[in-house]
Amino acid sequence: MPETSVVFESGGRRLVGLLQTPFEGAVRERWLFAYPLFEERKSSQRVLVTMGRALAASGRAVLLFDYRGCGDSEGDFEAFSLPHWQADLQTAADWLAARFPHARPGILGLRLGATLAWREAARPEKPFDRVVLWSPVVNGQAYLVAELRRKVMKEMLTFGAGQSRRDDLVRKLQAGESVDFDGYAVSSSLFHDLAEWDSTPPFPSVPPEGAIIGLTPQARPDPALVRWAEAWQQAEGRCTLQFVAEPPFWSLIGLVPCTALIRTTRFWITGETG
Amino acid sequence: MTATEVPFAFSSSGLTLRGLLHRPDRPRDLGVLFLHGWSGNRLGPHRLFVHQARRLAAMGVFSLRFDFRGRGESEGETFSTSLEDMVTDTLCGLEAFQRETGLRRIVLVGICSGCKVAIGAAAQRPDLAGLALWSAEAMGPLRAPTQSVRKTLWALRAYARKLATLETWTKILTGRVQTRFVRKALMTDERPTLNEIRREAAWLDAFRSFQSPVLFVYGGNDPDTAAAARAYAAFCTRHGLMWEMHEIPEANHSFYSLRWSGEVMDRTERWIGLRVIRSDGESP
Repeated sequence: MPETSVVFESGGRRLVGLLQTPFEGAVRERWLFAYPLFEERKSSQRVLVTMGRALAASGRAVLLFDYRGCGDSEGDFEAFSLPHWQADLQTAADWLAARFPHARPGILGLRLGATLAWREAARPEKPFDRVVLWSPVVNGQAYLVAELRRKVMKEMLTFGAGQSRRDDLVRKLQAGESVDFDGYAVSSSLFHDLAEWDSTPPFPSVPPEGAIIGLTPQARPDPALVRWAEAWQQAEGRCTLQFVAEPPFWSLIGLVPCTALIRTTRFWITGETG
Repeated sequence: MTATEVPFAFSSSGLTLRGLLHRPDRPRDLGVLFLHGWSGNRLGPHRLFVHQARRLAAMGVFSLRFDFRGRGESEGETFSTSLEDMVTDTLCGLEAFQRETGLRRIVLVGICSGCKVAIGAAAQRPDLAGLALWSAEAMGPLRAPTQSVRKTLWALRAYARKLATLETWTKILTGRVQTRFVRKALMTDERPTLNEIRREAAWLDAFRSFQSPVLFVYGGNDPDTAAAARAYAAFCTRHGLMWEMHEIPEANHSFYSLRWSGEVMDRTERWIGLRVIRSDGESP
């Protein structure tokens, strides 16, 4: 598929991305992909690039990019938080729309990227017709606390004992200090912004069409995602909920093909089994 | 990022490999080519390559960070890429980097498997200005026969510590333990094939006569450090290489903390200043 590295500005920072387009023919849909954060971005990149190639082969244009302070993009991670990254998604959506104005807009996100994508899609302006959420983070605070617990656990595995206590880390963040999370400086404002994400945002009057795809080891339903999908349907939105048996590739060191996830998503988006 | 960080693509075996070129405002005749690990990408763990490249740009040093074939944004099959392919990509990256910038002197900075690739490339490009090897695994004949056993023992100890926590027992009792991964961690045989050992041995054989400085940086809590550091120290001493080694006492394999990554970058910059820039008659 034709692929081009792109650079555009958001909030005065230069963001770096990859645009994937079909070889020929009109672009039917334009899809914006939202990366997760921290090392999840690194571990998931190849799966998202492969997903983008599968969609480009079916006549879609896909834009993957790094938020400010993340990946290749300008800035330090510590300086930014959720509102900045959501603004980056808006800028990227506008950038993509300017290039493919007649294509139907969609957004796909993974983990915290999925949550950001949903909040963007739920805006009253309804910027996206279609939404795909891969294992979205439902509760921001629970997500961060779980990540901090994992940090303490890793320290136990490395040193034989935790060097820090989760409660102390939370206290530091509450007091306005930053915390070192696996080489990323997590700021107090990111912690507070995540804490406010206690549930999914209100559904717009006409919710976009969407799919929630949960990845669990035995494709076992996740009750939080079931509740999310029910709320979506009650708001009279068309929502498909599926669970796929795949490893949590975003937190693994090795490379995982994620064939079932890519096949399921491609089928939902294009109707092609490929 | 400054306006001088630009996407950069080059070709290797007919595949397009993608990266980012850091152009300093006041450039020296020196560039760094970054080589990521087996399953990594051009960012390095926790953006370590991004931070290091930006700091080097402030010293007037160019950098190129790229994704090997089958990794990151580059073309190529993810699951059929070999270390030999990665060496080919590095040699193509070196040519493209020098063609684009006109630089004479290039240092390779590698992490984990990227270090083996750096040695493989140095075997074919003795004109390189130096190698900085972060968490270099022992390779070829330097690999201790007990390396796989040691990793399994380390994993067993780690799981034993996990069993001491309430969270682990909750997971076990609710059936949420992914036994597939535990089995993989304990049972995977990481012994290389005979062909791999021969190829790595050939790289090491050529590397014996490498004339430029080499820096090794290890984490003291990496289970591979003791044996790998001992093997490389003996190898470099025996063959008269210009080498030095630094261990960050508590750090793990990928230097997952701000303090450890800061120390890796400080050490590498100091080494580049003293051993690469000053030795060429420039002021660091």
